[in-house]
This record gives sequence, structure tokens and C-alpha cells, in this order.
Amino acid sequence: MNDLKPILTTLWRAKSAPLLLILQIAVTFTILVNAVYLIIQKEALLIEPSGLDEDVIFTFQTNVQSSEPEEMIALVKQDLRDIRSLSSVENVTVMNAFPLSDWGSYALTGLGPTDEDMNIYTGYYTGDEHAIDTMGLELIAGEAPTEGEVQDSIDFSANVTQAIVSKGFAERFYPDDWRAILGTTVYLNYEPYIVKGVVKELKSVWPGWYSHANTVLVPLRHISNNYKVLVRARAGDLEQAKLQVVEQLMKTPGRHLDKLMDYQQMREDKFKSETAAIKTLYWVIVGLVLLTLLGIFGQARFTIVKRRKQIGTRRALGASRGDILRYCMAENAIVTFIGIVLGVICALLANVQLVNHFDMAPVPVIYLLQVAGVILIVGQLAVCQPAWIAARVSPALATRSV
Amino acid sequence: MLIGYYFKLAWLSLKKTPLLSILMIGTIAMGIAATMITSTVSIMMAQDPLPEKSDRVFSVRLSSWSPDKAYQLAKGEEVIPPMLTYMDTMNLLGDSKGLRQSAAVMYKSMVRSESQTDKEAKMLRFNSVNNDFFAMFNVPFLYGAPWSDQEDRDGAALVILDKQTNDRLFSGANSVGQHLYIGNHLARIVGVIDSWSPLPQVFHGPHHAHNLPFPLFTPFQFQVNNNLLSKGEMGWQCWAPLGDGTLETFLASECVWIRYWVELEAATQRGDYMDYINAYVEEQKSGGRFARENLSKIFNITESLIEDQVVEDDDFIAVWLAAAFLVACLLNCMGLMLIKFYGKGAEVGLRRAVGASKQHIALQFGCETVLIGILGGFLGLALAQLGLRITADIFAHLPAGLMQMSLPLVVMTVVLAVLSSTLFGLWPIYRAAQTQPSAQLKSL
Repeated sequence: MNDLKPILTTLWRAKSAPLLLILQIAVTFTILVNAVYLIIQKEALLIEPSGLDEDVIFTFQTNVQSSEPEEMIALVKQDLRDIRSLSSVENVTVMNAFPLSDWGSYALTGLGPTDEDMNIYTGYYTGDEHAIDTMGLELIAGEAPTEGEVQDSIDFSANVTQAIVSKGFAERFYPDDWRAILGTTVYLNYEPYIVKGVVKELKSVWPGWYSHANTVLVPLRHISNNYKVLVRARAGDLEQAKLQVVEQLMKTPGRHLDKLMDYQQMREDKFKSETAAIKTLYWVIVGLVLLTLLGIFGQARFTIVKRRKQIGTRRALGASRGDILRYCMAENAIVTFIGIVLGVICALLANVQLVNHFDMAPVPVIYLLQVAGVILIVGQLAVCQPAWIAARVSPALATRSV
Repeated sequence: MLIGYYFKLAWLSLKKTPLLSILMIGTIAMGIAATMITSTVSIMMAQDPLPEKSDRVFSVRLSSWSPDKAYQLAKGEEVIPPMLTYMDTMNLLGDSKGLRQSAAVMYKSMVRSESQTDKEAKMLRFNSVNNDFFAMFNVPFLYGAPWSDQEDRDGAALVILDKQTNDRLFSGANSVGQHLYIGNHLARIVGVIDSWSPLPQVFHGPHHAHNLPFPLFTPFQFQVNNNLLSKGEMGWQCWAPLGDGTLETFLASECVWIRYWVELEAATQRGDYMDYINAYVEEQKSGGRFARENLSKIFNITESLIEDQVVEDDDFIAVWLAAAFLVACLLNCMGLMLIKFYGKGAEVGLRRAVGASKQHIALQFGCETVLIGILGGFLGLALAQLGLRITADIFAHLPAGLMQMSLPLVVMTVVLAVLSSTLFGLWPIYRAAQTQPSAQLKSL
């Protein structure tokens, strides 16, 4: 790189144009890093598994055609039996809320009944003896509740004494050996529950919540005037199962269905603002990259127009086209590099602000490197054409009027 | 006056280098558009939904939570529930200390007109409110009027519907006096409201802030009398276990589920109303309730937007990103201006040689910069409108009203473009004015 010294000297002589470019690259770099980072964070939310076999499950809400507790329970059980007997349905359960839906409950939890013990909120689900199979959860310890252990409740009014917990929950309280939680007592809203089983994964209703991985599943058949049902279709029969279930339920006079949704729709619904934000950020990135291309291209054209005579002289003195091409590329790389160094500083400063104000995790260094690589390549691409023009300058130019 | 002449020169000079000019104007326009799109959405999200009285309409919050435990902690501070119990709601409504007061709860039920069959019924969401609600939140009526105070207390089976539902069920005719089935209750229509989309919608709390209003309104007492609670969807929280699942138990419990709003005649009465609330809390304390320290508060609309964090962090981040994007665009444009003005060195040299001062040169290029800014601003405005259309498509789940620029924002767009391009043009202008006449003349 014997070009290095003259390049630096030249840049130092005429500072203003390269300085602008350096600033522009720094700002661009800052935005790019943070935008890429935001996208990756949001996309992680989108694809995070809920623990359910989402491709065979759909949910809906429906009413009970009675307001007498005894009769309500009987009617709901009859509905569940009817649905389970359909050919396209594998299993069905009644729950209080669904992962990723818009509404759910949480409970204050701890290992003891006092305020000091109760220090974390967890997602709270209720489901009957079919809940684990219907959701397709993997029971990794203990056992699922049997039919006799499930209580009927109108609006959470029953008194249950056992629970299934998620592995996240178990690890939260027994970090060294999560299996130790089996058979112990945990307290939910100051009430004691014996842990009967652990499922590998069951997420809460609120993605991005600090306690998203910690959930409990309590053996309750939660019934209200508008109760929530989760249906597992046989593989490949999802659409048919929806139709059959609707047809079956609508046989009852006064029946109403609401929010019939499969998990694909639930996800779309839940993450619509994230999806929109991601789309927007992609546009920002495309716009920025184009802008940088244009900026570098313009600058390079400008410097070459200014230096036609110099280039002619160099060519006349024996520099080859390759030398000129190399010189231009190297100059651009150096300017871009300085811009990136400045950009790294700005990006980190901006990120600190994001972390402080919006509780985000800091940017990993690997993103900085990747974005730096992209900008360098974009810069080299942008300078290609002007550098090619420069290399084509005829040595004869040097011999014309001075 | 040379200014007119300079603008003419600027126009000619822009036409002389079309590609460079388009690049300059285009980059400014892009940056301006991005900034204005995000600002518009963000400003609209956080705008004042009731500007004429947002300082005197209050959300009332009482410290009614469990003696053992704070409702929530945020940054080490105790937070009290944003909703009230049924008991407190009824007591406050009974006292009627404000100019107007209303509960606000959502519920859902199947709705059909008398002429429709059961199969045609639709599940719709309701605002369960008191009759003061409509005047408090300036709800415009197309036909009819709110129900009376007596009907409000009785919880009469009355309903007010929005324009859209009225169009769907009654083809937009005046339907006052007709009936709707709400579940199996026959309710008489007393009013139809005109198009109304308060943004953000404060009265149901942050969860519904950017939704369109629910289509139907019924008296709060009607919901309670007929046990139309949608516990699977409304926000409700209890700190003590409920004995049985009956409505009576729930109403007599310490569960919170009702948002309570009060309008005072003037913002200055805030202190008096707070005294009344504190006296009420003391009175309840002597009756054995409200075991916690009294942190009861009232938040006016502006404060509740902040308290309930209605504006999302993402909006702020977006505005900052866009502003940074604008800076990148302007830096790019500045570079292009440098190139452009450099290319005019000979012209400058000539003008300087025949007697133009540096100020004249600066003025000439200043005019050119301003012209670029104006053009960039208008193009940016057009791009922003287009961008807002696209944004409205992408963010289809948000009300379209968020994506409309108000006039001040339109003016701001152009002003911002001119100001920022001039600011960033200063350096190129300065450089151009420094041109030595002699050096340029030599090479002519």
C-alpha cells in the first residue's frame, strides 16, 4: 500500500468533502446498527414458540345457554364431549386464556405465603384433564391431573390445591435442579398448591414480559357465561375441524361463537404492530443504503472531475490503469473506514440511550462488525464506476494547456 | 432588489444540472418525508383527545387494594389500581360531586335487530357508561339524545348505537324508538351517534387507546342488573378470593373493574374534589375498608395518558431514527452542494472580478439553497402523504385518523425543509464565497 501516504495527505489537504462523507457514513452506520438490532429483537418475539403445537390448534369463545351453575357445568361438559366425538378433532379442552391471545391472568407466586416470599408474577392458566394433550405440551416430570382431580369453577370460584408448572417456572425457583420442585408446595396469590408435574414449555399471554416463560396450569374447568375452548384437530384436518365444530355447536339454539381463530391468525393479531414496525424498519434500511450509495458515488465523481489533470499526469508518468483504479478504491475504503470508526462510537452512544430509556438490551458487537462490512462493500460498489472513469483518463490530458 | 434575480439565477442553475438537482431535492425530500411521517403518527398517538377540557376531566383512582400488598410497584413507588370497585363507583356516582361523572366498562354481547333471526346476530362490544358520559367526552349525536337521569339510575334497557351499526341495521335511517336484542334483552334505541373517533381513546384505559370506539352504549346499571359481565375479556382484578361465582358476591367484593371519570367545572376545583375523595377514603377507613395508606389520586386526561403509558416507546424510537435519517440525508445534500458550487467556481471568479462582494456571492448561493429547500419541502410533503397512505396500509390495525397530517404539521414540513437545508447549506455557501477571482480567471 504505497498509495496510503499520498491518499492521507490529499484527504488532509481538502478536508471538507471527505469530512462530510465521513459524517454521513457515521450517521448511517448508527441508524443501520440500531435498526438492524430492533428488527432482530422484534423478529425474535415473532418466532418465539409458545410451547403449543400451533399448526393443529384453534380456539374460540362461546356462551352457555343457562345461568344456573349446575346446569352451566353440565352443558359445557356436553359441548366438550360433542366436539371430541367429531371425526376431525383429536382433543379439546376448556381454558381461561390462551398463550398469545389478547387476554389472560397472572398470579403472584412464591415458595412461601409471606410477602417476602411472594416476589414474582407468573402467567396463570386453568385447564381440564385434557389441557396438556390438547395443547401438545411435553410433560417432562410428574404427571398430568386426572379427570377426578379437575374441579369445575364458575368465574375462578373453586379451591384447587395442585398445579402443573412450566420448566421456566421450576428453574426460577430451583435453579440448580428444577426437578426438585415436584411434590413441593408453591404459593399462588397466597394460596398453597402442590406441584404435580412440569411441562417443558408453556409461555404466558404476554410476549416480551419479564416473566413470559414462567407459567402455571391449574386443573380447573373454568366456566363463565362466555367460556374459552381450545381444539386440537387431527393432523392436516384443521380447516375441516373448524367447520365441523361450528356446525356441531350451532345445532344448539341461542348459541353464539366469537373469535374463532387458529394460531396463525392469533400470531398475526398479536404481533401486528411488531410486524408493521419491522416492515417500516426494512424500508429505512433500504433507503439508507441507497442514500449512502448515492452519496459516495457523487463524492467520487466530484473528486475525479477535480483531479482529471493530476490523473493524466500520473498516467503520463507511467502509472497503469490498475494503479489509478486501486488508488480510488483505497481512498474510498479509507474514508469509509474512518466513517465507520466514528459510527461505532455514535452507534454505541445511541444504543446506550435506547438501553436507558427503553429498557432494551445492548447491541452485540457482532452486529457492529456485520454492518461495518456491509457499508464497506456498498462503498466499494459505489466507487466502482467513477474509479473506472478515472482509470480511463488519457495520459495525453497532461500534455494539454496547464 | 437582487433577490428576485438571484432566484431566477438559482432556477437556471438547477435546470443546468438536472441530475444533481434531482438528487439534492430528492434526498432532502426523503429525509423530510421520513421525519414527518413518524412525527405525525407519534404526535397523533399522543395528541390531546379532548383539548377543550383535558385539564378538567379526571380519571379517579382509589387506594382500595389489599392491606398486605401494594397493587403494583413501579420504580419502587406504589401504584394504585386504575379501576374502582363497584361499591366505590356507586358511592361516588351517588354523591355526584363533579359537574359530570360516569363509569366506563366494556362488555360484549350478541346483538340483532328485531327483524333479524338469531343466526344473524353479531357479537359486538359495548361501552357501559352513565348518561353524563356523552357530554363529558363531547360525543356527537346524529339522532336522539342520552337517556335521562332516572333511566340511568334504573338501568333501563336502552341503547345508543354508532353510525356504522345504524347504517348496517337500519340503513342509516333515524332508528330512535326501534329496538335491538342485546343477548335476550330487548333494548330501546334512544340515540345514534355521529362519526366519532377519539384518538387516543382514554376512557377504557391503555389497552384500548388506539382502537376505534366500541359501537354500542348502554346504561352502566343495565349491565349490572342483567349480569352482562364479560370476564373473559374485560380487565378485572381481585386481591381476595371470591367465595362463589355469583354476581352479588362479585359486586360486594373488593375486586376492581370499573374506570371512573369525572368532569369538574374548572381545573381550579381539582383541590376541592381531591379533598372530597380523601374525606370519602377516611369515611371508608372507619368502616374497615381501605387498609392501605391513602394514595388516592385523580389524573386529568393529559396525566392519565402518561400514567397509563399510552404512547409506546416504539413511536419515540421511530421519530429519533427518522430524525437521524434526515441528518444523513442533509449531510448527503451538503456534499452535493459542495460539488455543485465548486463547479461554478469560474462563474464566481468572474462575478468577483467585476466587482461582486463576498456577501453578494453568499446571497446568490443562499437563494439557490433556499430554493432547493422549498422544492425539497414540497416534494417531501408529497412523499409524506404517500408514505402515510402506505403506513396506513401497513398499520391497518390502527385508526386511519392517526395517519392524517394536520395543517400545522404541513406547514412545519416545508419550514423544516427550508431551515434544515439552509443550515446545512451554510458551509458550501461559505466555501463558494471564498473563491479567489484570480485563480479562476486564469484558467478561463
